[in-house]
Amino acid sequence: MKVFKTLLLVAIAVIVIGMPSSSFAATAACPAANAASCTSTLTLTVTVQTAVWMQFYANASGCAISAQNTDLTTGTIDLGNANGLGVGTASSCVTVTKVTAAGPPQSVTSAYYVTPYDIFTQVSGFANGTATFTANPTAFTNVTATGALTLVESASGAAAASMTALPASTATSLGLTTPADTGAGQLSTRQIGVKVTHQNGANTSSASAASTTITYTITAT
Amino acid sequence: MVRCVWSAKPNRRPASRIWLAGVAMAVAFFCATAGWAAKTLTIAGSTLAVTPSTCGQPGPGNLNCATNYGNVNGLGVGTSTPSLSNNQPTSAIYYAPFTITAGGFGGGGVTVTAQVTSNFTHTSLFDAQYCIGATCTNFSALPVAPATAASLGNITNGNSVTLTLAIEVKNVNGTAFTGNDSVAITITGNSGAPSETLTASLNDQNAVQLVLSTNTGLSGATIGGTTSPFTLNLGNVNGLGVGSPSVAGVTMTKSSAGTPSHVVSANYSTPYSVTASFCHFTTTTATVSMAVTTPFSRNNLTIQDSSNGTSFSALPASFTSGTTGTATTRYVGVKVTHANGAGNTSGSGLTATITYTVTAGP
Repeated sequence: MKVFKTLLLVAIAVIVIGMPSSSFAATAACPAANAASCTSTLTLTVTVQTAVWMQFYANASGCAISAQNTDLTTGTIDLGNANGLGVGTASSCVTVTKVTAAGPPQSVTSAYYVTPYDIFTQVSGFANGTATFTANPTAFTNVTATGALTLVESASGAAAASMTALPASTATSLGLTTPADTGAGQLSTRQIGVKVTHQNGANTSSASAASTTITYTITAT
Repeated sequence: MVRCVWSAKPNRRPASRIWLAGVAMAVAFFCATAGWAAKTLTIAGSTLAVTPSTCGQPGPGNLNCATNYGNVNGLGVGTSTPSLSNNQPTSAIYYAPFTITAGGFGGGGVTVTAQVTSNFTHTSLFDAQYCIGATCTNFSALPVAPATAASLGNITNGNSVTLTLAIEVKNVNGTAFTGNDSVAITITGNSGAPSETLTASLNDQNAVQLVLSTNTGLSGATIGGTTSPFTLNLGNVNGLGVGSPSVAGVTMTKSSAGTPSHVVSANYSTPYSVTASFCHFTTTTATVSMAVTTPFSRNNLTIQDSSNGTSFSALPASFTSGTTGTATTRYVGVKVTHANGAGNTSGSGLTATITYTVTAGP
């Protein structure tokens, strides 16, 4: 079974603040007669807005992400074939972790297919410059049996125990607060994958790829 | 026939005063009783005074009259007593009406002409023009002798014609001059009328002006105001260059660096026109310098200048203007550095002031 993931971004905000003052050595104001020099002034006005930007990058040891390093709104990552027993050859960019029940015999209850990926964020115009995130996935296509396929995410490591399930249609905090962006952006390495449950029945596998679209929301302060 | 004009006969033997007085009284009595009076063309000014006030009236010593246009300059800036028709970038025209009244001409009146009989010393800077009427503003060049004099028309006895006399002060450089100059205009009547010469003098001054305006040719953002202070609103900006500029004519360019590539800054700029005007200097160009005199209240905002819209540098900066009255295209931009924290936060309607100084000469 092939699993596709689609990554999305977005968010923005605006804030308001005050004004300045200063001085200048005086020459005659323009126009001026009986003079060889005069001054005119231009008052320049701008409204500075806050801005946030988020991009997904393939980690050096992770799966490729399409359209990375561009101002994309949607990128994709392909985790390859997956099954509920964790058998066979998975994509080289994926770490497979089997979860077994206490035995004997030790039966496989599920298998995790996980890859590292990077979230690169830039924020500007904020008081702190830090950012937090939520992820909100749609339900998987094709493999729709309850519990058969679950999207998981974590801060680090591919261990099953560290993975947090991201239920469909729910904005779940990633528990990530970036350090302050001091002008060069912040790169955060994360893990994302699927948990394939050892089960059978209708819609527990598919001939074509199962996919979910995850909407990431960045909130800067 | 007796011509009622006053004349002197220097080669004759001196006559006694009593005898001369007697002759004069007899002639005056004869002219008066015969209906003949002295022929006069009296010149008077309403805006500008004519000296002596008896200009053109019978009697010796008042055939050469004068008037003063005061301070003038080629840009028409400052206050002036004569009226001003500003014909920039070519010239400033200072004008004032003078009435010419005919007397002693009988029923036929007198046909009057005018011409320049002694031109300005600086003819590359000044010329005399005229029109007939008290409110006319469409001037013609006043012929310079020996060219045929301009006709001012026929004035019936006891009536007048208004001659509006204009002095064009040209907005040119290459010849440095300030100070006094004058032009002598001779007004002549036929039928034996005397010629009156009106000498118009002026005090020429240098002048400078600097105007900023929208560069319509390059579809620049709107510059507000026709005189200083000028205004320019570049609209919404941000340090990541996210989104499109909110103001027409503004271009945004991002600068990026590093791996992963991050936005270092975003520059929001527009072309505009800078027109420096200056007159009666030796040099035909001026220096325009620009400095930020009131900065934005944010540390991450930098005002930049460019001559080509590609290569920007922070102010202060300067450039050499074109000839007087010629617009020069410049680009002004605000660079928003990707930054956070105190002094770098967002803000609405933030303002800064750029002071432009134009220096001409020598």
